[in-house]
Amino acid sequence: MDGYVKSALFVYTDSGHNYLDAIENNDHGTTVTSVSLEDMRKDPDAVLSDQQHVVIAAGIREIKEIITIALKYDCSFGLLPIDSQKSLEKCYSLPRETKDQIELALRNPSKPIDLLYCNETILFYKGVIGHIPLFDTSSDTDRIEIIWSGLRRLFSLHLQPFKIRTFGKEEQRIDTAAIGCVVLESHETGLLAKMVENDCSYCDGMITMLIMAPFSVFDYLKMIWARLLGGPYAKAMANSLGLVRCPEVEITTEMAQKIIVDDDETISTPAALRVEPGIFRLNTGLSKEVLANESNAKEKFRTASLPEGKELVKAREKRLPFFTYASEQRFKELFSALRADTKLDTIYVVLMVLSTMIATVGLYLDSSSVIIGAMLLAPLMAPIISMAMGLLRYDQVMFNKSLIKIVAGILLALGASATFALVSPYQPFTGEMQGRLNPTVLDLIVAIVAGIAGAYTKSHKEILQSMAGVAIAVALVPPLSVAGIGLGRFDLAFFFHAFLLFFTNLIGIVLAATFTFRVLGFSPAVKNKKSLSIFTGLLAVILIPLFIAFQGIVDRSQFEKGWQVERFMVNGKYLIVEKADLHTINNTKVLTVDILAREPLDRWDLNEFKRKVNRNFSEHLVIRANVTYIP
Amino acid sequence: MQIRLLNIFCLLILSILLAACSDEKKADHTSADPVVIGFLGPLTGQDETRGKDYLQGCRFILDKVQKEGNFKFIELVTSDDQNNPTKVRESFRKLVEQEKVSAVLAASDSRTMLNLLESADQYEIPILSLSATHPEITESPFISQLLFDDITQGTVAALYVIDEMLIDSVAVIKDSRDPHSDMLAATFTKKFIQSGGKSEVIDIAKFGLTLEAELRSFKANHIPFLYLPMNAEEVIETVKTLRKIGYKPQMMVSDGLLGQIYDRFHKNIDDIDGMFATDVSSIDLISSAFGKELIEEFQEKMDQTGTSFTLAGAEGMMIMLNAAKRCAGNETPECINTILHSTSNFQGVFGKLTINKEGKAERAIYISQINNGYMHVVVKVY
Repeated sequence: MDGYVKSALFVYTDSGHNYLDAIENNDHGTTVTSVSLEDMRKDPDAVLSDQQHVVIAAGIREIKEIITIALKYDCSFGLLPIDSQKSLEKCYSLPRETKDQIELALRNPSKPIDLLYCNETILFYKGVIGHIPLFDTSSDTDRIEIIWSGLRRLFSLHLQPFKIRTFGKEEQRIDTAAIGCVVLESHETGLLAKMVENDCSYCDGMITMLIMAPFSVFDYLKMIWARLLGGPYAKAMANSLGLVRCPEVEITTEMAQKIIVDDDETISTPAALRVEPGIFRLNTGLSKEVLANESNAKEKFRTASLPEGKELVKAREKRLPFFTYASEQRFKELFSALRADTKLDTIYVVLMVLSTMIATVGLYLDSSSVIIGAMLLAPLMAPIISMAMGLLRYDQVMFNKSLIKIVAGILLALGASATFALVSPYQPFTGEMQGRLNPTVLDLIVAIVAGIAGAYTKSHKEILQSMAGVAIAVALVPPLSVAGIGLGRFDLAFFFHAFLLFFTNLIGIVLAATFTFRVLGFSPAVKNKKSLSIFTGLLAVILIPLFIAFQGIVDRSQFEKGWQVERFMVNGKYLIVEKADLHTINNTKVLTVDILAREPLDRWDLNEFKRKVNRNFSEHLVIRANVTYIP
Repeated sequence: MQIRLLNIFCLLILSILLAACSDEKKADHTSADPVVIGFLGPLTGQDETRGKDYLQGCRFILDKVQKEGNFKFIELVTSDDQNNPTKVRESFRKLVEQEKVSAVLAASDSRTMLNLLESADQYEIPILSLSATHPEITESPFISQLLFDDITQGTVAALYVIDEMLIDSVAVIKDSRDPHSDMLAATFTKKFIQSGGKSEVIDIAKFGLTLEAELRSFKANHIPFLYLPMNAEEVIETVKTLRKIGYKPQMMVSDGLLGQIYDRFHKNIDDIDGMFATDVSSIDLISSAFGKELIEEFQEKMDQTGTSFTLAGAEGMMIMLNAAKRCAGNETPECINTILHSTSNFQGVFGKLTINKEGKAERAIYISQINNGYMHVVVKVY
């Protein structure tokens, strides 16, 4: 069991006056001499010379003042936090109840911990240099106010040049741009603490500093969101974060940046941060792990993701964009790949013809597996994704080349499938063909999602193998093949319906991929606005038939579902409708019903059945009945 | 001169047009004598609530249509027959002779309505029966039915049980004092046996019959299904006896039973849980969008939920007004009767409805299962 100090000096201000009675009449056998800060200031030597342990109940600034004076007398300390000092409580794990606070404050012996200084001001738990919305407000402020003011300031953020020099075993100079830096002492609680690996202690003789350099507001929010989610993901260092851990740091900025120390004192850059290892003997509620003596703690520098070189110049020019802007330097590999995809070469022509032939034969055979094979072989997705990037970045060469390649692919596919249909003596109308003649809004949704997936997959080479799935999902070549078959049979309705599906896919993918690349930061804005307007206009036009077709599907589904409970009594015979299927052939609605009956049905029965259906549902239905007899 | 002639010509044309418009309005709205429609039903006595529900439905539709600016010349008069076969003729005579009605909406059941055939023929006044389903009612050329008749209902019930539930052995319990019950039981049994099933029939009106003994016999013979075309009181009595002897067959009741239970035996609502029922619809089975709108409007204006009787009353009045409208200018009983008998594909509250030349209604029959006091559709038979 811990012992308690025999005697202690209790220094208080008006805000800590309420502890006076409780500490003087403590249950731990400690003789307490109380003195106000005002009296101590008059003659500190007289007050402190005989004291070895000081208990403080005062405001943050006063606490720091008292500690600075008392350290000269080699005193140990106990803290009695006043109501507004929640952050201090958290930082040193101080108890909430007065009785427990006094018990902890009078304990003996006290554990020595590091003491941080920022421009010679003691820093207990947090120092913020620069503007870091949501983090640079006092933790004791109302949460809604923190969020509101933080969100407002998010949109006026600038990356500022920061020159950081570190001292210790390694001496480093970091020239970067950041919105600010955060110096942390407490690593156990708070959102900021979650951004740092929990491998440092209060006794490691190190300063831990986070350098916040998001490329966009979106990036910044993403980083916070990841930390809020917690788990292992939260511990991974974000792209927009740098970490420095060393005994001493100097920070200079082009423009003076404000420094907020412990939510209280505001000074400005330049900043000199240093740590005095183990000079502060304080009674805390901290765990043994955090208080472990790590005299051999390693210095850390994780600055690879911070802006440098050209990025630094670019970052300084403008306000932080909402979406990340990725420089061509950073995504050189992707742009090379996208440019390569725009080249119209023999491989593309051969693959396009082969995939179309496979798809056409698959459609004739009504074989979904053969058609899927054609989808995998089809090379049409790549130029469409490139076109999206060309559209986004106003890269005329990329856009035009992609467009030519796509048009060539369309012509090849139509030509190949039309030729096949023209020369084939067998002219079936299979289910696979039928399935591609009625595009709806749902097909557009598939195209949009596939466009997002395509752009996302293309941007991350480690998941490029997923592109095959995207190709299958969106299935570009089969509708083209069906359209070609329509041409080959001189059936223009067939052609237009199937081509509408292809066109839906094309427009959906291009627009979705463009916006995905935009969100992923490949351009600060959609630059080719004229082309984008054309694509959006086309989307609006195709939406009309797609919505009409979708409404048709909904109506049909409701109609067919309603038939699950429909029965008919015709001429005293009971007919059970097992299934109803409504489809349109040449603008005529045809209802095909599967009927179960126990008695044989003659033509009068079927005529009566037809009369009842027409009377109760629609006069314009053409009725087909498949009758099965119940044994 | 030419201009002057042209002006006169235009004035002439305008006058002709105005006169034409004015005549048309007169035909629609300001007929000298109002058309009087009679309501004949139980407004006092045991079935008072049911009768008043029918009347409320009729009045609701009439008010609605008149507020919309049509049929201001329709007047509704009532006569109470207490659903009593001995009083119905006198009540009808009063409507015809005193009130000079052109048509009648009748809300009494089959037993009462069968007594009205002669009077209907005598006075030649068209009657639309809102409730009675006995097939002989339409033997009078002046009576037509709003609901399907008992032959259709009994046949559908039998075919559903044997063809869809695949049950080939049933027992039927009937009350021969009630022609509706008697007819349903006879039709059901005949069709069921014709279709290859076996059926036993007992008549609770038969002297010396003990219901419990009969039910014990069905139980001993493992009969899985009971068809109960009886009134609510008799069905509840049967259920109690079944419970007493621990016999749990599946059961089917006929049209209007749930309404009767709500009306007079609300505390027994749980007794009919799980039973099948044949009906024209119910408050939760409204199939037409028009019916749903009407119910909402009714709830909004009357601040209460209408019963299935209210809706049937509303539907009957709609059909009657439709006939009167089609006879515009000649709203004689003869014209109304002819139009009533040629009602085709009429969009009613419960769905489409046709009244054929014999006065019989052709409309869907719902087979539902009663759960927690509501009918849930199982199948809909056209």
